[in-house]
Amino acid sequence: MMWQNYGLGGTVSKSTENTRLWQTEKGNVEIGKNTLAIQVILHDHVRGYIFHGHGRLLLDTIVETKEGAVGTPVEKEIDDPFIMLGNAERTGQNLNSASAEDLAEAGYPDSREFVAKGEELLNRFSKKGRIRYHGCSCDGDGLIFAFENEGGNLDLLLANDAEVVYKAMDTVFISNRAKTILKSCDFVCISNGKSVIVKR
Amino acid sequence: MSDDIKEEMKKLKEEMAGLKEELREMRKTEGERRRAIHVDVGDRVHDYVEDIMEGVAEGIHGELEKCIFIGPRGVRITKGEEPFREEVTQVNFPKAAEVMSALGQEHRLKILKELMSGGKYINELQEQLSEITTSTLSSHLKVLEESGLVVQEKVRGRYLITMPGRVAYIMAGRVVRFLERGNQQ
Repeated sequence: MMWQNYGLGGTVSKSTENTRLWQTEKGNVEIGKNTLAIQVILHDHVRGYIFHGHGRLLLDTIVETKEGAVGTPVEKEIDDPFIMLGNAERTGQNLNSASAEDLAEAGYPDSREFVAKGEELLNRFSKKGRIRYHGCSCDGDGLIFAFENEGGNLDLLLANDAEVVYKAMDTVFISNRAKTILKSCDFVCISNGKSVIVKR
Repeated sequence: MSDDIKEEMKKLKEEMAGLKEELREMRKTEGERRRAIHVDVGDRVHDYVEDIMEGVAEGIHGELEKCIFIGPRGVRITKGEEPFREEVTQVNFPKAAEVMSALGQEHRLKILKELMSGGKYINELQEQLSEITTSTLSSHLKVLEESGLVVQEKVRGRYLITMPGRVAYIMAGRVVRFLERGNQQ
């Protein structure tokens, strides 16, 4: 699947209730009621959404070792627009058409402004990021999130039921059922539940 | 065998026995000579021995400081200069006071002990610490979390002891054992 052929839908929607976009025992991403949404379309199929409203990311970037736990959880309020690719059909069930008032509440004079903002974000994600997603497949249960960070770049979260890859400004966290790797500014921790390497 | 030959063999045996005895005496004398160190220090034997022992002690102390770091989890042997020496002697007093304050409560130490065996939910901790209320337990957990000895998972909500938490708990136990041993002596 080639993300370079993406496009955005023309209709802006909003969430009808608080919605969990992703949830496992490691973390979750949720959006609040009335969050604006626009479809990300590829070959006439909805592949994801760009959201703008009140969202929240929780991710337990903690490595459990025999020597004690390492790392602190990520708890991030997401008030800027962000991308979600995958799980589009189920997410669409909780969306309704947004009104001009809804757009105004989020700071957009009209829907074109929101579409333009979404295009700019998707453009940065697919072309200007350090990681290129032109060959990325999102047909399975996997999800890709891209959140704007304080440094003006994108924090990436790739997740499915069992695996998580999170890359932020100062943290890289990779976890599956068997192993976990956490890299922060001042240490790297690798754990398979038994051994650990911590390097300062 | 003729009598002459018999006589000759008897003499040889006696001579051999004599040589063996001589050899044994020589070995004994040589051994004593090797074991003894003869030092002519005149009348100042005491001062001389003290000087030597002082030098040896200084040398051992220096080498120990250079190459062995005795940490909370045992002895770590390093090559060359000890990189942890400065870390050991330099203390961030406000942070140290905060950590010690967090440790300075019996129930908080009990919480750390419970978490040493793995992450636990608050209700599991409550079962083990039934003498305190849930709100008191939450308050203790908050103190431990703020001092970095415990971390709580945001999603599942379990409490986990951190690496510093384990070290602090073990150190507390060791200090107490040292003190108790000192009192006994």
